[in-house]
Amino acid sequence: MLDDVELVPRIQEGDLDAFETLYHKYKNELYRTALAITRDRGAAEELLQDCFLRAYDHMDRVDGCSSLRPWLHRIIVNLSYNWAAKKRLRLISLEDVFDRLLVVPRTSPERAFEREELLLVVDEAVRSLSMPQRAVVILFHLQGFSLAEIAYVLDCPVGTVKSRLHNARKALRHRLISDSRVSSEAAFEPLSS
Amino acid sequence: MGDNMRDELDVLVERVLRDCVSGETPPQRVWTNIRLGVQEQRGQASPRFRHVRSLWAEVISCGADFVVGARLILTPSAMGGENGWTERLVLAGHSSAPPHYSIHH
Repeated sequence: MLDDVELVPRIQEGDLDAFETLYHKYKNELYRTALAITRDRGAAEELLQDCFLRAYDHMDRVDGCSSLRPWLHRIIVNLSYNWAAKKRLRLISLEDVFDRLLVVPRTSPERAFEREELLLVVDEAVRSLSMPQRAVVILFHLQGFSLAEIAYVLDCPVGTVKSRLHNARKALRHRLISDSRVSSEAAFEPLSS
Repeated sequence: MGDNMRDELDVLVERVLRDCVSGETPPQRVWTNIRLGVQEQRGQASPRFRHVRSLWAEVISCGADFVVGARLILTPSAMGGENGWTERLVLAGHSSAPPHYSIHH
């Protein structure tokens, strides 16, 4: 797989094959980030599409000296924010429709009921976070970005990222402990795979 | 709630997020749409370019017509033979035609 540093000048010269290589390199993680934020496959597809079209449009401004990963995440997170803002406005009364579109956690039938219940509760807790907190949690826990990288992606100071992550953890902990379906002991038992 | 609990919460959250999206990949149509979009973006630029090109072609064509027209006017005509001012113009370099060219030659 070619390095971004090699791909960027080729894309800037109009090489569509190089752009396709870039797409295949990042498509899954960007799609999963959008999916984790929106919980809507159709929206994640659209956002991924828009993300790469915007990236292509602005490729001439890229210096090509480093990885495009944070930059591409910055685009898709911004697009996801906009999507969420619009959706909230349009579908506030269609919460049930939204719920049906949510991605169901992929759990096999063999898994224990308790664990499924626990994962479901955690999933709900993550979904209940505010959009800025959710984005930080997803970028940190799902994509493994550093705090500095998240600050770049979200265009905010590192201190803000830290406080959002701290508040998100606090909210998640509170939500889990107060959920009647999960006892605090069960919630924090180590998970076996 | 100690640090251990917080660590376990982190593990849980990571697990849930990964479970939610694990194995999820965008369908092929996403790239197809992106490619079409890129081609469209390129296509939006090319009509402008085509327009400029056709404008230049028009200018060149008009110029050529002018030159041809000027040659027809300034060179000795079929009827008239040579007169003073046309000859002077031709000799001054306003036509590449030989100064005494006419269809009667």
